[in-house]
Amino acid sequence: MSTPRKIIEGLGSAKHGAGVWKAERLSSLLLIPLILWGLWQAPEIAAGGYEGALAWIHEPVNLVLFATVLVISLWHMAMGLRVVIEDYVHGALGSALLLLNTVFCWGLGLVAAVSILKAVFGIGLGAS
Amino acid sequence: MSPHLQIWRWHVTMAGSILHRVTGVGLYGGAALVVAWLASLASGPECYAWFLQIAGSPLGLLAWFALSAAAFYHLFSGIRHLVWDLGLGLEPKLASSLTTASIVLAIAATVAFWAWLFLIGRVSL
Repeated sequence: MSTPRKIIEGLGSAKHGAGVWKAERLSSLLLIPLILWGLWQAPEIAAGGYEGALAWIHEPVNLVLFATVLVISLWHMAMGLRVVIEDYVHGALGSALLLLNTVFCWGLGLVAAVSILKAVFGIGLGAS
Repeated sequence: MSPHLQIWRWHVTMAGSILHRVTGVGLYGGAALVVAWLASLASGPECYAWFLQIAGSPLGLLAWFALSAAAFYHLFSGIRHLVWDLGLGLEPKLASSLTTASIVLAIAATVAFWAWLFLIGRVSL
């Protein structure tokens, strides 16, 4: 707040402003094949019932790709909704929604991680 | 709200932009449903059967249909944005054509996807 103008003048940007922009594009690019794969796999999983779904997620390729879809999607949607909130909601409510967005995305990731640990690796309370 | 939404002449790139945001927010909810699927799988056969019952109900299928349409539009519209980010296709007429194309492709892909599901017997009404 009190940095003299002569110190910051001519230094240009903070050098990390492009980071979010790049992250948005990188996650978009990665999601193109990942989402197509997900749309292709979903009907198979839906048709297989409980045993089929368990067998599906126990396949290493499926597990790795599915976890990747989740991580990249959560990353992408956290950044995307942030932009929407920043554009339309201001003040205290806006700040609260931005926080809620972050917490919600991390929360979904946590639930997904715990679920995978239990369903695939049998780790957790009441796991068989 | 966006400035002058009431003043600007309705335009396809504007509709495309709004649709990109709306489908993005919808897919946000879709991601929550996918995590709910995973959590129900981890919770055991009874919980999973309960999830499948809801997911396979007419209302559930309608939700998956809407989500697939949102996914296809957001995908094609997203590619359009990536093309624009390269500095290409920004001339007004071409930009409008790309937007129209992303909408048409999304409808076509959604219809084709569900037609495929009906044909292979994955979905029936």
